[in-house]
Amino acid sequence: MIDREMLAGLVFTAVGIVAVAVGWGYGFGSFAALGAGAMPVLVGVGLVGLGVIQIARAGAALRAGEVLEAAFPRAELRPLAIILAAVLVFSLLVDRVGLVPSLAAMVAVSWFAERGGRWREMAAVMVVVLALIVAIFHWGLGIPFRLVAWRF
Amino acid sequence: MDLFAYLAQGLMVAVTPTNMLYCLLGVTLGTAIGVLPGVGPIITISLLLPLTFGLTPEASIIMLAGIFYGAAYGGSTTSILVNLPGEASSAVTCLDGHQMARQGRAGAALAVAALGSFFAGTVGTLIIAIAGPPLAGIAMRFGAAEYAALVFVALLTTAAMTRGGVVKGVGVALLGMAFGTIGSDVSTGMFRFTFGIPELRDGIEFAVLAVGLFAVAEIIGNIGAPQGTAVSSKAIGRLWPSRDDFRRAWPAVLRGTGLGALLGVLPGAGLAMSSFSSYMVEKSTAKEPDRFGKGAVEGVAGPEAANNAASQTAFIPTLLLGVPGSPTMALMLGAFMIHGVQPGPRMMGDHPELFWGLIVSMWIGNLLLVVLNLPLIGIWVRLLQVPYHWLYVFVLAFACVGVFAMGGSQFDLLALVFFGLLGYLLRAAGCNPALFILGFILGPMFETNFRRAMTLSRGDMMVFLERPISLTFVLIGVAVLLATTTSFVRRGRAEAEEA
Repeated sequence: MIDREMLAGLVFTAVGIVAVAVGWGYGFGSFAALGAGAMPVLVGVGLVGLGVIQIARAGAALRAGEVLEAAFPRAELRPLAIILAAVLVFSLLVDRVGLVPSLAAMVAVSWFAERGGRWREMAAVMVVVLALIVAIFHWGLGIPFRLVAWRF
Repeated sequence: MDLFAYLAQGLMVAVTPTNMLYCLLGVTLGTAIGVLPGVGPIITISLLLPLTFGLTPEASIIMLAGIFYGAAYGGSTTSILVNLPGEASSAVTCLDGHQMARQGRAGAALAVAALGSFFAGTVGTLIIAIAGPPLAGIAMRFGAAEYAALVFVALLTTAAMTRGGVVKGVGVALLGMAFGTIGSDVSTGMFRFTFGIPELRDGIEFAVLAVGLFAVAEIIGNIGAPQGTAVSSKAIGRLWPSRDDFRRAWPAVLRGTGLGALLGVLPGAGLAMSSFSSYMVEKSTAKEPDRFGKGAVEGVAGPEAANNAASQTAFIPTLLLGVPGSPTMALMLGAFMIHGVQPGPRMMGDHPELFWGLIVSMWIGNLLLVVLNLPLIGIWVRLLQVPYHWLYVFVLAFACVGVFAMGGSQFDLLALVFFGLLGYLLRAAGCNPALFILGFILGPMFETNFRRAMTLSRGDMMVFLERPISLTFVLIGVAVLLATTTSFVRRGRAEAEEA
């Protein structure tokens, strides 16, 4: 498993390389007239530098036998997948079936992000959340949502 | 005296029924989320950002500011009553506040916290009003080199002061700056990092970024984490503090206010550090330091005054220089920019109604908080019984619908998934996503001024060291960087986090 320190180093380095590689194409310009690519290149160089330091440090700590905190604990993978899936479901449905059904689907999916949720309780949460959201956005703020639609 | 004319103008703006309503809404929401652990001002302000598109700039800023300083009040209530700090800034209030509650003096502790906060808030507001015009005058003389140096130093110090170390802090701020360059380049009009996606040409939508990074990613992280259990106290007792409490509390409030007002202005110090420092000052100057941790009223009065004073003066760099000193303030700055208002030295002249309206509303908001908080304590405590399972479903629904309400665009919702994932990745790497936001907001500001300064100096980097104001900023940055690597600050920070 990858640890937190190593992950930070890898993310910095990866984004830094993309920023330099793509940014260079926008033109660095000269110091008296910095081009559109100057900022991405400078930031990217900084990121690569810090990333390499971070990776070297994490590597040294590992070799010294330190146990570093794992970056992706098993307990967090379930909420990660389910919460993102819930937002994705909402984004795919809302234009087609309208606000209320897509929101109900989102609540149903996200309910299972945490263990131990009961079905009956989910129904109660769904009613409360739907009522609150429609009250706040549709009636309160007057945003013209299609509450229920059928367009495929 | 012009000050009164300005304040009168602000009063006219702040007391209109709409603005009063949004101020009330802001401080009420702020108190509520201050009470709830796991939902802080950063999440709430990001969640409400998409909604402010439909409001006037005055109403939206007044409401968002109310959330920010209201949370500092609400956090103290739960610290005292159930030993559960709703916010990091009121963590030290637990030490003596909850002990007072166990001795049946919860009412006195709550009243001291509320009155101390109100006093500190009033002083903080006055400081902004008095220091505003002269500071804006100085800032008017800043050129591109000064601004570039200032932004650079603000970023560097904030990054260096947060937990996780300097390398990670600066790294994640740079990540934010890299994402800030997405979209069309201001000087050449060239599209950068858009990868052929037309929606990216105007850059990343700030509100979507904030909701994804904070609301969505925070939910994912919180579900995995074990919930703290509340230790409830029995009775609140009588509200009015005794004569002895008053005698001990007021010097602590004065010291806390001064310390908080000072630390609030500095970039990176923040509310948590101000309340912690105040506690240390009270404990070390007390005649009988043994009383601390056993229900000393000074241990509540000082820190509560300090964090509230700091939450007011934190607006000084944001409003007058346009450079936020903390991530929450970066969100506030983003809210201004959504409405096409660029905070900075010119704001006072260009949008006087917004500037002075906000100042006066902050004072009114503080007053509302005292009136609201004490009688409604029972309701706030009951909020703690809302299970997180219910809460996160609602927050997620609110986040999705809020983002969709902005423009009815599916792209924004897909971007929300992306930024939720990014926020989770940053957390997994032990990086503070709030610094990402700071880099994202300050990056473009730095780029514009840096490029302009370099052009004016014909490519000579020495321009940043030759101009006295710019040199001062650079020296401050170097000093802070050196200081954070020495043991003293590191130890203080570690203690502040444990407390």
